[in-house]
Amino acid sequence: MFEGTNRLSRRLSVASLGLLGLIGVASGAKADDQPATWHGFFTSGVAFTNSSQSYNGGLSRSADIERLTRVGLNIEKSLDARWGYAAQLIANGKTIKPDWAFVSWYPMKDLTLRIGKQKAPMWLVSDHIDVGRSFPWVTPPEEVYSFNPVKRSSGFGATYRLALGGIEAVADGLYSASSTDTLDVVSGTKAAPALDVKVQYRRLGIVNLVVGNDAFQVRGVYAKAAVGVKTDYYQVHNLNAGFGAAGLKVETHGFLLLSEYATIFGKVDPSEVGEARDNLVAAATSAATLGAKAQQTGSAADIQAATAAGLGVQGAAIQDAAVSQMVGSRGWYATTGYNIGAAMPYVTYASLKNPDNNHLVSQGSQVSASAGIKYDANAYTDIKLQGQHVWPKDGTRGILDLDPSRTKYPQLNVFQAVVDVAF
Amino acid sequence: MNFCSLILTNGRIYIVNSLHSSFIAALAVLLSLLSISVPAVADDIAIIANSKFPLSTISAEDVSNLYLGKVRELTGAGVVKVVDQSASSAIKGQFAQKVLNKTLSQLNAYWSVRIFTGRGVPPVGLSDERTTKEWIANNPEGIGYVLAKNVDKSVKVLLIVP
Repeated sequence: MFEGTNRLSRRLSVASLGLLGLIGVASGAKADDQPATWHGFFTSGVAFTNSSQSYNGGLSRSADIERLTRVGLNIEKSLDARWGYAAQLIANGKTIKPDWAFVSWYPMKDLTLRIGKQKAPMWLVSDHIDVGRSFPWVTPPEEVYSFNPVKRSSGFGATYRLALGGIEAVADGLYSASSTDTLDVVSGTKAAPALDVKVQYRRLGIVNLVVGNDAFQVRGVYAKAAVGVKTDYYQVHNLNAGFGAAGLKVETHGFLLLSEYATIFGKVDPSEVGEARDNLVAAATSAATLGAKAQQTGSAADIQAATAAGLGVQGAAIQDAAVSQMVGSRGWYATTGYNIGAAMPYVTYASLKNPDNNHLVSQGSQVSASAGIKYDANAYTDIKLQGQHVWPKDGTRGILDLDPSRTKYPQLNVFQAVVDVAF
Repeated sequence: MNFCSLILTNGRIYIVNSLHSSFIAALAVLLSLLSISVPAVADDIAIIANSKFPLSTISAEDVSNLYLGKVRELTGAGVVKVVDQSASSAIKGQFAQKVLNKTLSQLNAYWSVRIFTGRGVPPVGLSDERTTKEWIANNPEGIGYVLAKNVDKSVKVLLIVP
Protein backbone atom coordinates (compact mmCIF):
# COMPACT_ATOMS: atom_id res chain seq x y z
CA MET A 1 0.00 0.00 0.00
CA PHE A 2 2.78 2.40 0.92
CA GLU A 3 4.67 1.73 -2.26
CA GLY A 4 1.59 2.26 -4.42
CA THR A 5 0.55 5.51 -2.80
CA ASN A 6 4.13 6.73 -2.66
CA ARG A 7 4.33 6.25 -6.41
CA LEU A 8 1.16 8.31 -6.81
CA SER A 9 2.59 11.05 -4.61
CA ARG A 10 5.87 11.03 -6.51
CA ARG A 11 4.03 11.20 -9.83
CA LEU A 12 2.11 14.26 -8.65
CA SER A 13 5.28 16.00 -7.45
CA VAL A 14 7.15 15.12 -10.62
CA ALA A 15 4.15 16.23 -12.69
CA SER A 16 4.02 19.58 -10.93
CA LEU A 17 7.77 20.11 -11.34
CA GLY A 18 7.48 19.08 -14.99
CA LEU A 19 4.61 21.50 -15.43
CA LEU A 20 6.72 24.24 -13.90
CA GLY A 21 9.46 23.46 -16.39
CA LEU A 22 7.10 23.53 -19.38
CA ILE A 23 5.55 26.78 -18.26
CA GLY A 24 8.98 28.22 -17.61
CA VAL A 25 10.10 27.34 -21.14
CA ALA A 26 6.90 28.72 -22.61
CA SER A 27 7.13 31.91 -20.59
CA GLY A 28 10.73 32.41 -21.62
CA ALA A 29 9.55 32.86 -25.18
CA LYS A 30 7.43 35.87 -24.30
CA ALA A 31 9.31 39.09 -24.89
CA ASP A 32 7.03 41.26 -22.76
CA ASP A 33 7.09 39.05 -19.67
CA GLN A 34 7.97 40.44 -16.30
CA PRO A 35 11.11 38.72 -15.06
CA ALA A 36 10.95 36.06 -12.38
CA THR A 37 11.42 37.43 -8.88
CA TRP A 38 13.88 35.85 -6.45
CA HIS A 39 13.69 36.11 -2.70
CA GLY A 40 15.48 34.41 0.14
CA PHE A 41 15.65 34.02 3.88
CA PHE A 42 18.38 33.17 6.29
CA THR A 43 18.42 32.37 9.98
CA SER A 44 21.37 31.52 12.15
CA GLY A 45 21.88 31.47 15.87
CA VAL A 46 22.81 29.46 18.89
CA ALA A 47 20.82 27.43 21.39
CA PHE A 48 21.80 25.66 24.59
CA THR A 49 20.36 24.54 27.92
CA ASN A 50 21.59 24.32 31.49
CA SER A 51 20.51 20.69 31.79
CA SER A 52 22.44 17.43 31.86
CA GLN A 53 19.51 15.90 30.02
CA SER A 54 19.11 16.81 26.35
CA TYR A 55 15.89 18.47 25.22
CA ASN A 56 13.73 18.62 22.11
CA GLY A 57 15.89 16.50 19.83
CA GLY A 58 19.41 17.02 21.11
CA LEU A 59 19.52 20.49 22.63
CA SER A 60 22.08 20.34 25.44
CA ARG A 61 24.65 22.35 27.34
CA SER A 62 26.80 22.43 24.23
CA ALA A 63 26.11 25.47 22.08
CA ASP A 64 24.26 24.24 19.01
CA ILE A 65 24.41 26.44 15.92
CA GLU A 66 23.29 23.95 13.28
CA ARG A 67 19.74 23.43 14.55
CA LEU A 68 18.88 27.12 14.18
CA THR A 69 20.68 27.69 10.88
CA ARG A 70 18.82 27.48 7.59
CA VAL A 71 18.71 29.20 4.22
CA GLY A 72 15.83 29.39 1.75
CA LEU A 73 15.67 30.49 -1.86
CA ASN A 74 12.39 31.31 -3.52
CA ILE A 75 11.36 31.99 -7.13
CA GLU A 76 8.03 33.34 -8.29
CA LYS A 77 6.96 34.00 -11.84
CA SER A 78 3.75 35.54 -13.13
CA LEU A 79 3.08 34.23 -16.61
CA ASP A 80 0.20 36.57 -17.18
CA ALA A 81 -2.51 38.14 -15.07
CA ARG A 82 -4.08 34.73 -14.35
CA TRP A 83 -1.25 32.20 -14.19
CA GLY A 84 1.92 31.93 -12.21
CA TYR A 85 4.20 29.50 -10.47
CA ALA A 86 6.42 29.51 -7.41
CA ALA A 87 8.99 27.18 -5.90
CA GLN A 88 11.30 27.14 -2.91
CA LEU A 89 14.50 25.38 -1.91
CA ILE A 90 15.64 25.06 1.67
CA ALA A 91 19.05 24.17 3.09
CA ASN A 92 19.49 23.06 6.68
CA GLY A 93 22.85 21.76 7.83
CA LYS A 94 24.32 19.84 4.93
CA THR A 95 20.98 19.10 3.29
CA ILE A 96 19.46 21.02 0.40
CA LYS A 97 15.98 19.97 -0.66
CA PRO A 98 12.96 21.29 -2.52
CA ASP A 99 10.54 22.75 0.00
CA TRP A 100 7.52 23.19 -2.26
CA ALA A 101 6.61 23.98 -5.87
CA PHE A 102 3.22 24.70 -7.37
CA VAL A 103 1.33 26.37 -10.18
CA SER A 104 -1.31 29.00 -9.41
CA TRP A 105 -4.36 30.02 -11.38
CA TYR A 106 -6.58 33.01 -10.65
CA PRO A 107 -9.84 32.25 -12.47
CA MET A 108 -11.76 35.13 -10.91
CA LYS A 109 -11.42 37.93 -8.44
CA ASP A 110 -10.69 36.71 -4.90
CA LEU A 111 -10.19 33.06 -5.90
CA THR A 112 -6.84 31.29 -6.33
CA LEU A 113 -6.35 27.65 -7.24
CA ARG A 114 -3.06 25.78 -6.87
CA ILE A 115 -1.68 22.41 -7.87
CA GLY A 116 1.61 20.93 -6.71
CA LYS A 117 3.52 20.51 -3.47
CA GLN A 118 2.38 23.07 -0.92
CA LYS A 119 2.99 24.02 2.68
CA ALA A 120 0.09 22.92 4.86
CA PRO A 121 -1.60 25.67 6.89
CA MET A 122 -1.98 23.49 10.00
CA TRP A 123 -0.92 25.63 12.94
CA LEU A 124 -0.67 29.42 12.89
CA VAL A 125 2.87 29.71 11.51
CA SER A 126 3.41 26.16 10.29
CA ASP A 127 3.35 27.10 6.60
CA HIS A 128 6.20 29.58 7.11
CA ILE A 129 7.86 28.04 10.15
CA ASP A 130 11.35 28.17 8.61
CA VAL A 131 11.16 31.93 8.05
CA GLY A 132 12.19 33.40 11.38
CA ARG A 133 11.57 36.94 10.16
CA SER A 134 7.85 36.21 9.99
CA PHE A 135 7.18 35.61 13.72
CA PRO A 136 8.28 37.09 17.05
CA TRP A 137 9.88 34.07 18.75
CA VAL A 138 13.29 32.52 18.14
CA THR A 139 11.37 29.31 17.49
CA PRO A 140 7.59 28.85 17.77
CA PRO A 141 6.48 27.26 21.08
CA GLU A 142 7.40 23.56 20.92
CA GLU A 143 4.41 22.69 23.11
CA VAL A 144 2.31 23.17 19.97
CA TYR A 145 4.75 22.96 17.09
CA SER A 146 6.50 19.74 18.13
CA PHE A 147 3.43 17.80 17.05
CA ASN A 148 2.70 19.69 13.87
CA PRO A 149 1.50 16.69 11.89
CA VAL A 150 1.70 17.85 8.28
CA LYS A 151 4.36 20.17 6.97
CA ARG A 152 3.67 20.01 3.25
CA SER A 153 1.46 18.07 0.93
CA SER A 154 1.16 17.38 -2.78
CA GLY A 155 -2.30 18.06 -4.09
CA PHE A 156 -4.83 20.73 -4.88
CA GLY A 157 -5.31 23.96 -2.98
CA ALA A 158 -7.76 26.82 -3.12
CA THR A 159 -7.99 30.20 -1.43
CA TYR A 160 -11.11 32.32 -1.43
CA ARG A 161 -11.28 35.80 0.03
CA LEU A 162 -14.51 37.50 1.01
CA ALA A 163 -14.52 41.17 2.03
CA LEU A 164 -17.27 42.19 4.43
CA GLY A 165 -16.86 45.89 5.02
CA GLY A 166 -13.77 46.36 7.14
CA ILE A 167 -13.57 42.64 7.86
CA GLU A 168 -12.27 39.97 5.52
CA ALA A 169 -12.67 36.24 5.61
CA VAL A 170 -10.06 34.07 3.90
CA ALA A 171 -10.73 30.37 3.46
CA ASP A 172 -7.89 28.05 2.49
CA GLY A 173 -8.49 24.48 1.44
CA LEU A 174 -5.99 21.76 0.62
CA TYR A 175 -6.72 18.26 -0.57
CA SER A 176 -4.23 15.49 -1.20
CA ALA A 177 -5.11 12.01 -2.40
CA SER A 178 -1.79 10.77 -1.11
CA SER A 179 1.18 12.55 0.34
CA THR A 180 4.25 11.62 2.34
CA ASP A 181 5.93 13.81 4.91
CA THR A 182 8.50 13.62 7.69
CA LEU A 183 7.48 14.58 11.20
CA ASP A 184 9.09 17.67 12.71
CA VAL A 185 9.67 15.88 15.98
CA VAL A 186 12.02 13.36 14.45
CA SER A 187 14.97 15.69 14.22
CA GLY A 188 17.39 13.27 15.79
CA THR A 189 20.11 13.98 18.30
CA LYS A 190 23.87 14.19 18.12
CA ALA A 191 24.11 10.78 19.73
CA ALA A 192 21.33 9.23 17.66
CA PRO A 193 21.15 10.87 14.22
CA ALA A 194 17.85 11.68 12.58
CA LEU A 195 15.71 8.70 11.79
CA ASP A 196 13.71 8.62 8.64
CA VAL A 197 10.16 8.43 9.94
CA LYS A 198 7.88 8.83 6.97
CA VAL A 199 4.29 9.58 7.70
CA GLN A 200 1.84 9.05 4.91
CA TYR A 201 -1.45 10.84 4.61
CA ARG A 202 -4.20 9.61 2.36
CA ARG A 203 -7.34 11.58 1.62
CA LEU A 204 -5.88 14.51 3.51
CA GLY A 205 -8.23 17.47 3.65
CA ILE A 206 -7.46 20.74 5.41
CA VAL A 207 -9.77 23.72 5.80
CA ASN A 208 -8.35 26.89 7.31
CA LEU A 209 -10.54 29.94 7.93
CA VAL A 210 -9.20 33.33 9.00
CA VAL A 211 -11.59 36.18 9.82
CA GLY A 212 -10.55 39.65 10.85
CA ASN A 213 -8.73 42.77 9.80
CA ASP A 214 -5.22 44.21 10.17
CA ALA A 215 -5.60 44.52 13.94
CA PHE A 216 -7.59 41.44 14.93
CA GLN A 217 -7.76 37.94 13.48
CA VAL A 218 -9.46 34.75 14.56
CA ARG A 219 -8.39 31.49 12.97
CA GLY A 220 -9.75 27.97 12.89
CA VAL A 221 -8.41 24.85 11.21
CA TYR A 222 -9.86 21.42 10.75
CA ALA A 223 -8.10 18.57 8.97
CA LYS A 224 -8.72 14.88 8.49
CA ALA A 225 -6.66 12.08 7.00
CA ALA A 226 -5.96 8.39 7.01
CA VAL A 227 -2.45 8.25 8.43
CA GLY A 228 0.20 5.59 8.10
CA VAL A 229 3.65 5.43 9.65
CA LYS A 230 6.38 3.27 8.24
CA THR A 231 9.92 2.84 9.51
CA ASP A 232 12.37 0.00 9.81
CA TYR A 233 10.94 -0.83 13.24
CA TYR A 234 7.40 0.27 13.00
CA GLN A 235 4.47 0.16 10.64
CA VAL A 236 0.95 1.40 11.20
CA HIS A 237 -1.75 1.89 8.61
CA ASN A 238 -5.12 3.57 8.57
CA LEU A 239 -4.91 5.67 11.66
CA ASN A 240 -7.94 7.88 11.18
CA ALA A 241 -6.76 11.17 12.53
CA GLY A 242 -8.43 14.52 12.90
CA PHE A 243 -6.51 17.72 13.57
CA GLY A 244 -7.95 20.90 14.97
CA ALA A 245 -6.60 24.29 15.93
CA ALA A 246 -7.97 27.67 16.90
CA GLY A 247 -5.96 30.84 17.13
CA LEU A 248 -6.16 34.53 17.88
CA LYS A 249 -3.93 37.38 16.75
CA VAL A 250 -4.24 40.96 17.93
CA GLU A 251 -1.75 43.51 16.61
CA THR A 252 -2.59 47.14 17.20
CA HIS A 253 -0.93 50.29 18.53
CA GLY A 254 2.33 48.42 19.05
CA PHE A 255 0.65 45.70 21.10
CA LEU A 256 0.83 42.06 20.05
CA LEU A 257 -1.13 39.07 21.32
CA LEU A 258 -0.81 35.62 19.78
CA SER A 259 -2.57 32.60 21.13
CA GLU A 260 -3.27 29.17 19.75
CA TYR A 261 -4.73 25.86 20.80
CA ALA A 262 -4.04 22.72 18.78
CA THR A 263 -4.96 19.10 19.16
CA ILE A 264 -4.94 15.78 17.38
CA PHE A 265 -7.92 13.60 18.09
CA GLY A 266 -7.38 10.51 16.03
CA LYS A 267 -7.89 6.94 17.17
CA VAL A 268 -5.20 4.30 17.09
CA ASP A 269 -6.41 0.77 16.63
CA PRO A 270 -4.77 -1.03 19.59
CA SER A 271 -4.38 -4.19 17.54
CA GLU A 272 -2.18 -2.33 15.09
CA VAL A 273 0.25 -0.81 17.56
CA GLY A 274 -0.07 -3.09 20.56
CA GLU A 275 2.64 -5.59 19.64
CA ALA A 276 5.07 -2.93 18.50
CA ARG A 277 4.48 -0.97 21.68
CA ASP A 278 4.97 -4.08 23.87
CA ASN A 279 8.26 -4.86 22.17
CA LEU A 280 9.41 -1.32 22.62
CA VAL A 281 8.59 -1.20 26.31
CA ALA A 282 10.43 -4.50 26.81
CA ALA A 283 13.48 -3.18 24.98
CA ALA A 284 13.40 0.04 26.98
CA THR A 285 13.19 -1.85 30.24
CA SER A 286 16.12 -4.02 29.20
CA ALA A 287 18.14 -0.93 28.26
CA ALA A 288 17.34 0.65 31.61
CA THR A 289 18.62 -2.48 33.38
CA LEU A 290 21.81 -2.43 31.33
CA GLY A 291 22.24 1.25 32.13
CA ALA A 292 21.88 0.64 35.86
CA LYS A 293 24.39 -2.19 35.66
CA ALA A 294 26.87 0.00 33.77
CA GLN A 295 26.57 2.68 36.42
CA GLN A 296 27.30 0.12 39.14
CA THR A 297 30.22 -1.66 37.49
CA GLY A 298 31.68 1.21 35.45
CA SER A 299 33.03 -1.35 33.02
CA ALA A 300 33.65 -0.15 29.46
CA ALA A 301 31.86 -3.16 28.00
CA ASP A 302 28.77 -2.59 30.14
CA ILE A 303 28.72 1.10 29.26
CA GLN A 304 29.03 0.25 25.59
CA ALA A 305 26.21 -2.30 25.80
CA ALA A 306 23.98 0.11 27.70
CA THR A 307 24.69 2.92 25.27
CA ALA A 308 23.91 0.76 22.24
CA ALA A 309 20.70 -0.48 23.82
CA GLY A 310 19.76 3.04 24.81
CA LEU A 311 20.30 4.43 21.34
CA GLY A 312 18.32 1.62 19.78
CA VAL A 313 15.42 2.22 22.10
CA GLN A 314 15.66 5.93 21.58
CA GLY A 315 15.37 5.51 17.84
CA ALA A 316 12.42 3.19 18.10
CA ALA A 317 10.83 5.39 20.75
CA ILE A 318 11.03 8.44 18.54
CA GLN A 319 9.22 6.50 15.88
CA ASP A 320 6.66 5.33 18.36
CA ALA A 321 6.23 8.91 19.46
CA ALA A 322 5.29 9.73 15.89
CA VAL A 323 2.30 7.48 16.34
CA SER A 324 1.52 8.27 19.94
CA GLN A 325 1.49 11.95 19.11
CA MET A 326 -1.22 11.27 16.61
CA VAL A 327 -3.62 10.69 19.44
CA GLY A 328 -4.69 13.06 22.09
CA SER A 329 -1.79 15.51 22.14
CA ARG A 330 -3.05 18.97 22.87
CA GLY A 331 -1.08 22.12 23.36
CA TRP A 332 -1.64 25.82 23.67
CA TYR A 333 0.30 28.98 24.18
CA ALA A 334 -0.21 32.70 24.65
CA THR A 335 2.37 35.30 23.69
CA THR A 336 2.13 38.99 24.32
CA GLY A 337 4.54 41.75 23.41
CA TYR A 338 4.80 45.48 22.99
CA ASN A 339 6.79 47.48 20.45
CA ILE A 340 9.11 50.05 21.95
CA GLY A 341 10.73 51.68 18.95
CA ALA A 342 12.46 48.94 16.98
CA ALA A 343 12.41 46.51 19.91
CA MET A 344 9.62 44.25 21.05
CA PRO A 345 9.95 42.49 24.40
CA TYR A 346 7.58 39.56 24.72
CA VAL A 347 6.57 36.79 27.10
CA THR A 348 5.07 33.38 26.36
CA TYR A 349 3.35 30.74 28.45
CA ALA A 350 2.85 27.35 26.82
CA SER A 351 1.49 23.97 27.79
CA LEU A 352 1.57 20.49 26.26
CA LYS A 353 -0.58 17.63 27.47
CA ASN A 354 -0.11 14.12 26.21
CA PRO A 355 -2.39 11.41 27.56
CA ASP A 356 0.22 8.73 26.80
CA ASN A 357 2.21 9.02 30.00
CA ASN A 358 4.67 6.17 29.47
CA HIS A 359 7.80 8.25 29.83
CA LEU A 360 9.94 5.57 28.21
CA VAL A 361 8.26 5.69 24.88
CA SER A 362 6.40 8.89 24.27
CA GLN A 363 6.70 12.60 24.52
CA GLY A 364 4.98 13.70 27.69
CA SER A 365 3.40 16.75 29.25
CA GLN A 366 5.07 20.00 30.19
CA VAL A 367 4.60 23.71 30.65
CA SER A 368 7.09 26.47 29.95
CA ALA A 369 7.42 30.19 30.45
CA SER A 370 9.70 32.28 28.31
CA ALA A 371 10.72 35.88 27.86
CA GLY A 372 12.50 37.38 24.92
CA ILE A 373 13.16 40.43 22.87
CA LYS A 374 13.00 40.98 19.13
CA TYR A 375 14.95 43.87 17.70
CA ASP A 376 14.41 45.04 14.12
CA ALA A 377 17.91 45.99 13.02
CA ASN A 378 16.49 47.15 9.69
CA ALA A 379 13.48 46.41 7.50
CA TYR A 380 14.96 43.04 6.48
CA THR A 381 16.80 41.88 9.59
CA ASP A 382 15.92 41.14 13.17
CA ILE A 383 17.88 39.93 16.17
CA LYS A 384 16.17 37.86 18.87
CA LEU A 385 17.16 36.71 22.32
CA GLN A 386 15.01 34.29 24.32
CA GLY A 387 15.16 32.52 27.66
CA GLN A 388 12.77 29.76 28.66
CA HIS A 389 12.10 27.69 31.76
CA VAL A 390 10.56 24.23 31.26
CA TRP A 391 8.67 22.17 33.81
CA PRO A 392 8.02 18.50 32.82
CA LYS A 393 4.61 17.51 34.19
CA ASP A 394 2.63 14.44 35.27
CA GLY A 395 5.77 12.40 35.89
CA THR A 396 6.63 12.46 32.20
CA ARG A 397 9.67 13.67 30.33
CA GLY A 398 7.78 16.42 28.50
CA ILE A 399 9.87 17.17 25.43
CA LEU A 400 13.12 16.12 27.08
CA ASP A 401 14.86 13.44 25.07
CA LEU A 402 14.47 9.85 26.16
CA ASP A 403 17.00 8.51 28.63
CA PRO A 404 16.09 4.95 29.65
CA SER A 405 18.31 5.16 32.73
CA ARG A 406 16.19 7.94 34.21
CA THR A 407 12.96 7.68 36.10
CA LYS A 408 12.68 11.41 36.74
CA TYR A 409 13.28 14.27 34.37
CA PRO A 410 14.55 17.66 35.49
CA GLN A 411 13.32 21.19 35.02
CA LEU A 412 15.60 23.12 32.74
CA ASN A 413 16.34 26.47 31.14
CA VAL A 414 16.74 26.97 27.40
CA PHE A 415 18.63 29.94 25.95
CA GLN A 416 18.46 30.91 22.30
CA ALA A 417 19.65 33.79 20.12
CA VAL A 418 19.22 34.26 16.38
CA VAL A 419 19.59 36.66 13.50
CA ASP A 420 16.82 36.45 10.89
CA VAL A 421 17.04 37.95 7.44
CA ALA A 422 14.45 37.96 4.67
CA PHE A 423 15.08 39.67 1.35
CA MET B 1 -42.19 65.36 6.20
CA ASN B 2 -38.51 65.93 5.77
CA PHE B 3 -36.51 63.74 3.47
CA CYS B 4 -32.81 63.88 3.85
CA SER B 5 -30.17 62.90 1.34
CA LEU B 6 -26.56 62.06 1.78
CA ILE B 7 -24.21 63.47 -0.78
CA LEU B 8 -20.71 62.13 -0.78
CA THR B 9 -18.23 64.14 -2.74
CA ASN B 10 -14.49 64.48 -2.57
CA GLY B 11 -14.38 62.55 0.67
CA ARG B 12 -16.93 64.76 2.47
CA ILE B 13 -20.46 63.79 3.49
CA TYR B 14 -23.22 66.36 3.13
CA ILE B 15 -26.64 65.79 4.74
CA VAL B 16 -29.27 67.79 2.91
CA ASN B 17 -33.01 68.28 2.88
CA SER B 18 -34.62 66.96 -0.28
CA LEU B 19 -36.19 70.35 -1.10
CA HIS B 20 -32.77 71.87 -1.39
CA SER B 21 -30.82 68.82 -2.44
CA SER B 22 -30.34 69.85 -6.06
CA PHE B 23 -28.99 73.24 -5.15
CA ILE B 24 -26.74 71.93 -2.39
CA ALA B 25 -25.54 69.05 -4.51
CA ALA B 26 -24.50 71.54 -7.15
CA LEU B 27 -22.79 73.58 -4.44
CA ALA B 28 -21.00 70.50 -3.13
CA VAL B 29 -19.73 69.68 -6.59
CA LEU B 30 -18.54 73.26 -6.94
CA LEU B 31 -16.79 73.02 -3.59
CA SER B 32 -15.11 69.82 -4.61
CA LEU B 33 -13.99 71.39 -7.87
CA LEU B 34 -12.64 74.34 -5.95
CA SER B 35 -10.86 72.07 -3.54
CA ILE B 36 -9.02 70.42 -6.43
CA SER B 37 -7.47 73.74 -7.23
CA VAL B 38 -6.16 74.09 -3.68
CA PRO B 39 -2.44 73.23 -3.66
CA ALA B 40 -1.66 69.83 -2.09
CA VAL B 41 0.06 69.75 1.25
CA ALA B 42 3.75 68.88 0.91
CA ASP B 43 3.41 65.36 2.41
CA ASP B 44 0.14 64.39 0.73
CA ILE B 45 0.43 61.23 -1.33
CA ALA B 46 -1.33 60.97 -4.68
CA ILE B 47 -2.50 57.59 -5.91
CA ILE B 48 -2.04 57.91 -9.65
CA ALA B 49 -3.02 55.91 -12.71
CA ASN B 50 -2.64 55.96 -16.44
CA SER B 51 -4.91 58.51 -18.14
CA LYS B 52 -6.73 55.60 -19.85
CA PHE B 53 -7.39 53.79 -16.55
CA PRO B 54 -11.14 53.04 -16.47
CA LEU B 55 -11.77 54.34 -12.94
CA SER B 56 -11.61 57.98 -11.89
CA THR B 57 -11.42 57.35 -8.13
CA ILE B 58 -10.29 54.57 -5.84
CA SER B 59 -10.83 53.90 -2.14
CA ALA B 60 -7.96 53.72 0.34
CA GLU B 61 -9.12 50.17 1.17
CA ASP B 62 -8.79 49.08 -2.47
CA VAL B 63 -5.32 50.64 -2.63
CA SER B 64 -4.32 48.78 0.53
CA ASN B 65 -5.69 45.48 -0.78
CA LEU B 66 -3.82 45.87 -4.07
CA TYR B 67 -0.52 46.77 -2.43
CA LEU B 68 -0.80 43.94 0.09
CA GLY B 69 -1.47 41.46 -2.69
CA LYS B 70 -4.92 40.57 -1.37
CA VAL B 71 -6.59 41.36 -4.69
CA ARG B 72 -5.32 41.58 -8.25
CA GLU B 73 -8.30 43.20 -9.88
CA LEU B 74 -10.90 45.89 -9.23
CA THR B 75 -14.53 45.92 -10.19
CA GLY B 76 -14.83 48.07 -13.28
CA ALA B 77 -11.12 48.01 -14.01
CA GLY B 78 -10.19 44.35 -14.32
CA VAL B 79 -6.68 43.22 -13.51
CA VAL B 80 -4.50 46.03 -12.17
CA LYS B 81 -0.70 46.32 -12.17
CA VAL B 82 0.64 48.13 -9.14
CA VAL B 83 4.08 49.62 -8.88
CA ASP B 84 5.88 50.53 -5.67
CA GLN B 85 8.74 52.88 -4.80
CA SER B 86 12.17 51.64 -3.84
CA ALA B 87 12.83 50.76 -0.22
CA SER B 88 15.27 53.65 0.13
CA SER B 89 12.73 56.33 -0.83
CA ALA B 90 11.21 58.40 1.95
CA ILE B 91 7.74 58.24 0.41
CA LYS B 92 7.59 54.44 0.71
CA GLY B 93 7.65 54.63 4.50
CA GLN B 94 4.95 57.31 4.48
CA PHE B 95 2.81 55.28 2.10
CA ALA B 96 3.20 52.13 4.22
CA GLN B 97 2.21 54.00 7.37
CA LYS B 98 -0.66 56.07 5.96
CA VAL B 99 -2.25 53.63 3.52
CA LEU B 100 -1.16 50.17 4.61
CA ASN B 101 -1.11 50.97 8.34
CA LYS B 102 2.26 49.24 8.77
CA THR B 103 5.83 50.21 9.48
CA LEU B 104 8.36 49.17 6.86
CA SER B 105 9.53 46.41 9.16
CA GLN B 106 5.97 45.13 9.64
CA LEU B 107 5.44 45.34 5.89
CA ASN B 108 8.52 43.22 5.24
CA ALA B 109 7.44 40.69 7.85
CA TYR B 110 4.01 40.57 6.17
CA TRP B 111 5.58 39.92 2.78
CA SER B 112 7.89 37.31 4.30
CA VAL B 113 4.81 35.20 5.00
CA ARG B 114 3.27 35.77 1.56
CA ILE B 115 6.47 35.20 -0.41
CA PHE B 116 7.71 32.13 1.41
CA THR B 117 4.36 30.37 1.27
CA GLY B 118 4.06 31.14 -2.45
CA ARG B 119 1.07 33.43 -1.96
CA GLY B 120 2.50 36.38 -3.89
CA VAL B 121 5.34 38.83 -4.09
CA PRO B 122 5.38 42.55 -3.36
CA PRO B 123 4.93 45.05 -6.18
CA VAL B 124 8.09 45.99 -8.04
CA GLY B 125 9.76 49.05 -6.53
CA LEU B 126 10.88 51.72 -8.99
CA SER B 127 13.79 53.98 -8.28
CA ASP B 128 12.08 57.37 -8.03
CA GLU B 129 8.91 59.34 -8.66
CA ARG B 130 9.88 60.35 -12.20
CA THR B 131 10.37 56.70 -13.16
CA THR B 132 7.05 55.86 -11.51
CA LYS B 133 5.19 58.45 -13.55
CA GLU B 134 6.88 57.27 -16.76
CA TRP B 135 5.93 53.67 -15.98
CA ILE B 136 2.32 54.65 -15.23
CA ALA B 137 2.13 56.67 -18.44
CA ASN B 138 3.17 53.58 -20.41
CA ASN B 139 0.89 51.06 -18.65
CA PRO B 140 -2.85 51.60 -19.12
CA GLU B 141 -3.67 49.22 -16.27
CA GLY B 142 -1.02 50.67 -13.97
CA ILE B 143 -1.42 52.28 -10.55
CA GLY B 144 1.31 53.91 -8.47
CA TYR B 145 1.88 56.68 -5.98
CA VAL B 146 3.93 59.86 -5.78
CA LEU B 147 3.97 62.95 -3.62
CA ALA B 148 0.92 65.00 -4.56
CA LYS B 149 3.07 68.06 -5.26
CA ASN B 150 4.91 66.10 -7.96
CA VAL B 151 1.83 65.08 -9.97
CA ASP B 152 1.84 66.26 -13.57
CA LYS B 153 -0.37 65.88 -16.63
CA SER B 154 1.18 62.56 -17.69
CA VAL B 155 -0.97 60.73 -15.11
CA LYS B 156 -4.34 61.12 -13.43
CA VAL B 157 -5.02 61.27 -9.71
CA LEU B 158 -7.37 58.65 -8.24
CA LEU B 159 -6.99 59.55 -4.57
CA ILE B 160 -5.17 62.03 -2.38
CA VAL B 161 -4.02 60.60 0.94
CA PRO B 162 -3.40 63.42 3.44
